[in-house]
Amino acid sequence: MTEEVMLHGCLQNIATAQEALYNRFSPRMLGVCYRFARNREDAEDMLQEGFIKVFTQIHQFRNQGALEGWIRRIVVHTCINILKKNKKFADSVDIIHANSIQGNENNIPSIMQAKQVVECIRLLPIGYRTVLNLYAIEGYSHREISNMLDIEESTSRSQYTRAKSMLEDILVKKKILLKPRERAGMAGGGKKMIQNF
Amino acid sequence: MEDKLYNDNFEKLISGHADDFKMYPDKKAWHGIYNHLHPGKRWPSAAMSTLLLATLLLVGHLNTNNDKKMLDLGNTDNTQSHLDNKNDLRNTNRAAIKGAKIIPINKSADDLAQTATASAGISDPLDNTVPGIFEEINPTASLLIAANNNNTRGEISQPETNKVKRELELPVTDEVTKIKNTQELNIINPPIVNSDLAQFKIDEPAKTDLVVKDILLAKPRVEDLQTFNETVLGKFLKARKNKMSWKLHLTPNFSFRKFSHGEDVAVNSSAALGPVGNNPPPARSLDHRLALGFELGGSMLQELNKQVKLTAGLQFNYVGYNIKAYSVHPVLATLILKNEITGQEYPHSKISNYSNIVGSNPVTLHNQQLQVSLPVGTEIKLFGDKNLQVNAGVVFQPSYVIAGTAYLPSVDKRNYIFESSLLRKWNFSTALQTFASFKAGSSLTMHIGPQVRYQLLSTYKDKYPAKEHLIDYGIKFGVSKTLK
Repeated sequence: MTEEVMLHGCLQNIATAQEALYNRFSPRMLGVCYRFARNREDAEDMLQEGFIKVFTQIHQFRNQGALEGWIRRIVVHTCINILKKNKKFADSVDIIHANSIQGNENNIPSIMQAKQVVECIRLLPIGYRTVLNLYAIEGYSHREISNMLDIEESTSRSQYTRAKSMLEDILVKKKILLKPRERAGMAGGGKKMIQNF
Repeated sequence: MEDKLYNDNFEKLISGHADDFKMYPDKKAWHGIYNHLHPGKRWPSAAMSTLLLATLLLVGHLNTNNDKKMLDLGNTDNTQSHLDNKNDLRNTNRAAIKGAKIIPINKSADDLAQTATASAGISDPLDNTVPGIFEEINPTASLLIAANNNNTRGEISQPETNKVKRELELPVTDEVTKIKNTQELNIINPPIVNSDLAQFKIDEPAKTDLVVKDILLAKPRVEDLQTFNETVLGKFLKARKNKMSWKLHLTPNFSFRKFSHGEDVAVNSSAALGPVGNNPPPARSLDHRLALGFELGGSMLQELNKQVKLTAGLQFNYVGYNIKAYSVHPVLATLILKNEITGQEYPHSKISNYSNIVGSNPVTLHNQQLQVSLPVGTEIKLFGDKNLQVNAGVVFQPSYVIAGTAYLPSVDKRNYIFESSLLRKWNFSTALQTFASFKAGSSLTMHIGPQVRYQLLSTYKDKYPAKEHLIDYGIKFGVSKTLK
């Protein structure tokens, strides 16, 4: 079923078209939710709410851009709204807390590379993780992030810097990533060697 | 610069791998979305389940309630309620009172009887003799009235009026609880002036004359219960239970369908009423073929009288027909649907992989439904005896479609579009049947006969303008057993 046909069916509230659209995009969207959520159950709840909004607001899709991108934006906003009910993003993260979280990196299962990266991201504290997801992966600017999370733009920048540093440490300790200085030390000429994932 | 390049690459790497990450959600996530978007479609399932459960509970209750009543008959605590027969009680009392024989003196029995009857206001249609009632005629007269059938002459003497309470004790047998019946009697005790009076005395009521039903008040013995079971009431209740039976049936059938499209689309006669004959269909004519279906279920039967039985049950139906089509490359085909509120028609386009035009890759498509239904109806005995009889029946079946597939012809009838969402969930059918019943063994009865079932509502929802009514022809096989 093409996207056009699915869209046409969803506009008429036909269940088969809705299910087809859900089956096509839900695996990737659940991956998006999983990066924001504390666990799989929360991620599925976010996914469910997100798709309900997608189907009820499908008439607002103006065919300007890809359907997947539009669905993704709705799902991300849904995730943020759910997280905002439970978490204040203005709070900074205790360093001790951050170190203890980093210590859990050994629990990351050695499976697919994408899942490894995602699991490493999920090790970050919720505030760091959310800003990292929105800026580095979803492509929002710090200004947009500050509006979404009701924080200062400077807070968003500082949280992202800390999140990135923490994630880098986790990936290095897991030997998923080599730092540039280490790579320069391994081979001459300052050539950058980035370990293949 | 190296750091910036690294930073950019770091973010790209993170983003790339995160985007590649997929997880497959649990089915319940979709169910939650579906139920939120289509809330009305939940409730029929819940209502249907409730209805089925209530029907099963009712049938079970009716089946076991008769057993309970039979047990209650043997239960001593309830004998009084079942034996509230005032005539019996009245007769018992009359007999008890009759047993007390009072011999009249000094007056003719006729005069005494008439006087006593008139003054006491006794009306005893069952017996002309006056029960033992004493009446004060006058202070100076003594009067004892004979209570037996033999009119005995007596004399009137000069009594002194005396009201006494006389306890009439009935003789008690081993089984009978002592019954005390106190009557206030106006006894005129005359001084005995006539030695003849001495010959008259009050006899004790004969034990044999007392008929007190012990089952009214006392605990019945086993032989009394057997006696009771043989009474009219026991026979009635026993016979009542034999009027319920259960039946299991299987009906293999073939489905025809009556298909009518909108008036603006020309309908080939072969498409209007299937199945199509042996000749290959012309272009744009729908080629629908017979398919085997079945009904499988059970029912309870309640006999109203010797001719008529009521039935109610539960059964599963599998109905459908085959479509001859041809596999083609995906094309966009269009259905015309109708807005259920405004009535306005609109196109509904969908990819189709099947064509109605003769091609090189024939395929057989199946339009089919699995239904659960609650048939209720009547069976009427036409003629025959217990060993072999011919019956006719009519059944009304509300049904719910559990699952189904639907391939619908496009508006130009060139393609078939798969659109099961247009299947109507609730439907009603009516069936006519005749069958022969014959005894098989000591307790089972076999049934066999033809059945025709017609689907009253269209297979598809109202938004699909074309109407389809399924007609099933089959042979019904059944086995039944009377509950004892």
